Amino acid sequence: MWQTPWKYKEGFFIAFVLVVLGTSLELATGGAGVGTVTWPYNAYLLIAFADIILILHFIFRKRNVVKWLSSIPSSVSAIVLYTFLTLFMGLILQEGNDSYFAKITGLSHLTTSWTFAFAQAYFLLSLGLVSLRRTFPFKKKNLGFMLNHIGLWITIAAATMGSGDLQRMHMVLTENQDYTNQAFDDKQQNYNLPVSLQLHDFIIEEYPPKLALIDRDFNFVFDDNQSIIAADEDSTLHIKNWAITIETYYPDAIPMDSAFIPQETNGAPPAVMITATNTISQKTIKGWVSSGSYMIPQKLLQLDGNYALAMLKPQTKKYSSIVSYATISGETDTVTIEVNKPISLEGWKIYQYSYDDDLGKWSQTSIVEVIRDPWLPLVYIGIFLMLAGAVYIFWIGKDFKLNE
Amino acid sequence: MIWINFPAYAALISISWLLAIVLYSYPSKSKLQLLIANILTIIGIGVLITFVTLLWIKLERPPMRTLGETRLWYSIFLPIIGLITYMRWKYKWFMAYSLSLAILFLGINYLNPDTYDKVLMPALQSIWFVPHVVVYIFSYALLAASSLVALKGLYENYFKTIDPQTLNLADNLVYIGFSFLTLGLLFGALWAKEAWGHYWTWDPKETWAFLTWICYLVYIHYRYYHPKKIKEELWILSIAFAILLVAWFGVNYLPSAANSVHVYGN
Repeated sequence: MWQTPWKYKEGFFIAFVLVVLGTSLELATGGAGVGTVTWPYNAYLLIAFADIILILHFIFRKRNVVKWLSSIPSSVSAIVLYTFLTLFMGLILQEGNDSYFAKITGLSHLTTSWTFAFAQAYFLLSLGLVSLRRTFPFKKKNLGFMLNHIGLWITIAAATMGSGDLQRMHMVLTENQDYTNQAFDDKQQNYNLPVSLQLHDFIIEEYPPKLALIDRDFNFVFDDNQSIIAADEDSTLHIKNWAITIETYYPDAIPMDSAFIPQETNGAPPAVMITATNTISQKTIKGWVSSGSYMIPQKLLQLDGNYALAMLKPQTKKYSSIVSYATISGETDTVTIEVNKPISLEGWKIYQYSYDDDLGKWSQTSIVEVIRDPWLPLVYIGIFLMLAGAVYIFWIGKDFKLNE
Repeated sequence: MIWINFPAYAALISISWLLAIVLYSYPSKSKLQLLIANILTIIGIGVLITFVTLLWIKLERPPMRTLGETRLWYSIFLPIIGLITYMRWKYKWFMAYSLSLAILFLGINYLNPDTYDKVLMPALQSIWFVPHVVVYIFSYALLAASSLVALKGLYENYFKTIDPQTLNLADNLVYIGFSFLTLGLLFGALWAKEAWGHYWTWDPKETWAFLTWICYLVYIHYRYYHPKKIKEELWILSIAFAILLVAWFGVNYLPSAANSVHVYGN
């Protein structure tokens, strides 16, 4: 080992030393992790790191160590170290892991552990040097290589450094209350945003509820592949010697005497009228089934001593908030925010996040998530370079002769 | 829920593909025999595409939500890739293998029937849904094909001398597969920013998808630098595919997946 030219042994030794060093630092700090670096220090750090790579390349490129750092054995050892740590991340529960051992070794917060930070630095050093080596002097045949390697470098570097400036918090909006710009982070700390919101209406669309058989312990009974029927279907469900047909379906109904009548009021759950026929005894049972709501209790239909028919709570199809906004720079408008359709204002993105679960579709509260990630454009530049690189690989395929 | 006769379709497809496998495998110089095999393969693909189209219409959403549904797409892409590879490079054995794998996946779906269900949770209702899944499954099918090559290579390596050309086929498949894998991963990141607020959260599914990506990266780099270390490369390729399978199916069963936002099963 350590005889030039260096190969894999040296690479894996470096990787091993980084793991030992990282884990020791975690143990020494009681598993505190790296901590976040925020603006402008993260930018200084990134510039300093990039400068080191540039200096190594342009001034010391003939040195054996620098040559080795941009070689495949170094790259592979860096990638394998990264893989190894990611594998741990994939196997060990990260958030919500209570193990003391996992905490003090950094295993339960790998992405913010010293070990991962060192692995990342080694990876970016090697990746940066090899990118420069293939970029200068520029050759057209290296284009695909450049797109993929430089793109990956920018993506990882910007995502890592930018994580310190990522702000993620929630706003609780209630229908017909005044404008608010109050947001809370996950430590319940209060912030004033440059955007104020007012909720006019929170809307939930639901799928037709499903009906299923339950046993005496309230477990669902599954029978082959047809165990569930939707309330709006006109087919017959055959399960456990029962043929179940839906006669009437009211999406919103309230109980009246022993039946349900359609009525659209707050807390009116869906209800169906069922005919169930036992295929052996030919006994027929008719009755109402409802999922219930926060106001009205659930209604089951008892078929025999063992089984009853139940309606599941309807599943959400779509939920959205109609809000008015006013920004600090004087912009105002009324818009709809829904899942997968966030809005962007003053550098913040606003997402439909949640609502009052207990009230479900009658919720008058909407929770939106507000996120600011000033490093996003840089990350996207990296991602788009990689997308172009992927298209290049697809188009050209394996464009080099093997190193024989 | 919705009555769709998958067993009947699966039987029809499997029979035509099994016949095709026999015709591809049976040594003969007859051009007609291979033509019939190709036609049978295409019939199977056509029937499966019909089934998936009907399913799409009946479910009123892209049938790409559950693992079972993704297996259907896989069983479409694998024979298509096999057929293109076969026409381009004339590997008959490869056709037989990709059809077998496609039948295996239909078989898994037959044994684990999906409760077909119209529900598509709001997070999945996005223009990214179809490209993200299709690109991924296409890539998985290509990489599965490359792992078939790897298994054949390992077998040859064990019992006789390996033909160095074998890995060239694997390379071609890996390069195209990897480019789609990258597209799938990055589409996922761009989508996640719109749906969940951040492009990368190290969700277990993301972590394993990243692992898969990085394993193929190791293969590509190692292969480039050591073209003669075929045995090691065959092993890397096999391990990479095992990781891919964990990313696809295994994640749901891992303890680390307790908080995953990527579990959409029934």
